[in-house]
Amino acid sequence: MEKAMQFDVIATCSTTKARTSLMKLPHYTVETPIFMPVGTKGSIKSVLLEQLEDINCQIILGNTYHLGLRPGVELLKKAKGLHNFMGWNRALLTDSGGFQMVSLLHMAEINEQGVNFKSPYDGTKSLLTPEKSIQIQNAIGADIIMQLDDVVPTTSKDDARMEEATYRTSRWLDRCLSAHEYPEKQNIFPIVQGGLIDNLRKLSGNLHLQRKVNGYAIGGLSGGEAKDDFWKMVSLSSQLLPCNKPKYVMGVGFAVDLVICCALGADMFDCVFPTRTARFGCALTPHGQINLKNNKYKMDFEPIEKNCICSTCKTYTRAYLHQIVSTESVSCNLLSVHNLTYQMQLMKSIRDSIKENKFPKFVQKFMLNMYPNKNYPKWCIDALKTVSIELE
Amino acid sequence: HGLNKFVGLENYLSCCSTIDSVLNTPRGKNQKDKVSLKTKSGNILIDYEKYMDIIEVFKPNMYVTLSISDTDWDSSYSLIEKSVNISNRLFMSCLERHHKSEVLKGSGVIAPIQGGYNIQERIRSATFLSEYNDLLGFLFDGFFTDGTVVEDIPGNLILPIVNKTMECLPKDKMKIIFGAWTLDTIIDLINSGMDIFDSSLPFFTTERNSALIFNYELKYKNDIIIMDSHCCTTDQNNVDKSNSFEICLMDTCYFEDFNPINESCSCLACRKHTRAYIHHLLMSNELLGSLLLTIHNLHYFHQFFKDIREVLLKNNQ
Ligand SMILES: [Zn+2]
Ligand SMILES: [Zn+2]
Repeated sequence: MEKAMQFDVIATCSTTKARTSLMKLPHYTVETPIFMPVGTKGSIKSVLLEQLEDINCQIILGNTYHLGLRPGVELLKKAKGLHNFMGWNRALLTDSGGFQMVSLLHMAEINEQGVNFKSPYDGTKSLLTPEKSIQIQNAIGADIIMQLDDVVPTTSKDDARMEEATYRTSRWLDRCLSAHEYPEKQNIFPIVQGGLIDNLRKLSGNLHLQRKVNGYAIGGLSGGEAKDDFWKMVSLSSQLLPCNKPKYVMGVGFAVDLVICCALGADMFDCVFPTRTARFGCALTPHGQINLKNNKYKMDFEPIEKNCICSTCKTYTRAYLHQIVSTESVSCNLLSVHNLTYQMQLMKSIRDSIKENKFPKFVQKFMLNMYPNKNYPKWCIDALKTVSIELE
Repeated sequence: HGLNKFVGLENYLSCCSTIDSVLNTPRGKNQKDKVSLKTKSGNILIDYEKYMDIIEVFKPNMYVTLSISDTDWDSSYSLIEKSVNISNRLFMSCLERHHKSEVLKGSGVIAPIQGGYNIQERIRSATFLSEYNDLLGFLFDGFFTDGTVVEDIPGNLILPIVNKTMECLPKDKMKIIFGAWTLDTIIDLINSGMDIFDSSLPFFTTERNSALIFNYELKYKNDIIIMDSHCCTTDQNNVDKSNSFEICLMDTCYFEDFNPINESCSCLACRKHTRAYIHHLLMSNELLGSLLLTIHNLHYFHQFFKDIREVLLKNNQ
């Protein structure tokens, strides 16, 4: 039987927990740490596949909830999966659909069977079970698929509910694993839950460790919790999980968060942020985000970022982008290309610095660029201290 | 460094004019030799000095001189007469300024022929403008103020006017027309001697979520091009123009159509994607859908012109 994944750690930072690896998936060999752009409905908003390849996107994410509704499972089966349907021949990852339901549909109800929800289109009641989620994800055919988990808002104060969700997530994992039809082609990742409670996180991690899987996701974060809680939970979950398997922190996309999560040992990330912020006219730079709608760019004939290698920066000035932003839809493409290039280059710099064993230096320089006045957020200083990086 | 560099099209030619031929641009009131232009920030009044200041900054490869061109089928004779008079005056002022300008030495001047749908006024305008030798070409202007209705203007309404006007113009100068004229009308206009068109038609096709797919055969007979377009209905009474040259990919019949938009098209959208995928993107309101349609429609339109040039070249050797 063929293996759905081979994960080889190439280099490990001698100071922090950061590592760089090759994750060989059925459709592509992905270099980690990696950022995965989100293509909710089977396209990265306004960006061509050719552009994604040029930017060196290696794995993109699709949303099971949206794809299950449209174009639907039957069509995806006929198209022989999402890869084929959208013409993407690198790696794909799909979420379970559960998070989308709970966050988009306030009327979602969860019980042991699954997630009950009302269709936003016709109000009919449906039930998303772990089996159903895997069925849809099998039809989509992504290289990595997610278990359905019992999602409780991160900021919930209901500890009993959180505990129930932790155990239930583990029970649902077993149902997902037994419903899975293509273990030789698709990898199910369990999701470590437990909210912001240390013991529940440990419990969740340990329950998952008993199952045979090729990688793990760290979930239930990036939901409005304090940064102080966020990094501690990432650190704790990451330490629980084995070093020879990839660790995916869900919903992380800010540059600073990415760098710190890498230092704590995480390998994979996803977020709508770079493409969403592009739609609002914002461009990412090593010094933070700039809004091109701002009048100060009207006569600025520099590219967004002088050293950026993207086609937008090579061709257009801030003044031009200022003119077309928010009026011409092509601006969305141009800014998305830049922002995704920024994310991919950031991850590449992280990987390169780990290979050269210069990651701690890279982190210090990166942080100084982001905070030239050295007013580093306290959570960054604290998080990095635990992996022996001092911010001066 | 000029307009071409600013918009990232350094290796292309640019042509500046004051109208966007895909928009409805009802004008404000023009004041004595000042032209009212509709912009994103409302109507502005512009005189030839201000216009030429802008052109000097843009440094386009060619540009149309400032004119009053807000005439259409319904325009009164006096309005048409006025547009010819003022446009001619503005033309002279712009040209004078052009000759004094150092930075515009490399730019060509396009003279806008006015006259609405009045043949006498068209001839008057063309005769006046053709006396100037230092022009790059002529624009057939003033046929519409609303770019969104051009497709509905019957070809036989403008063709006699275009043909009569052509007789007054020197053969060796470029002839330009803007707007989304139908493919049949484009062929007729080329036969009349028109050289340059814009991309309004593929733009509108994309706007209605459609793809150009007409199959055509171009023949050369008695010094003119004849287009045989099949797969499309030839019924002149067919009011549903969306059926004749294009398919609407929003139509549910493409839900599971795993063919490319057009088998023989070599554009990126056709090489990589299916009708089903583009249908899905359009139904899901994904920008990539119209992006792929734009790529296909522009490619198809380009190929159409390439084929026309080939037929003309082959038969004129
Ligand atoms: Zn860039
Ligand atoms: Zn095509």
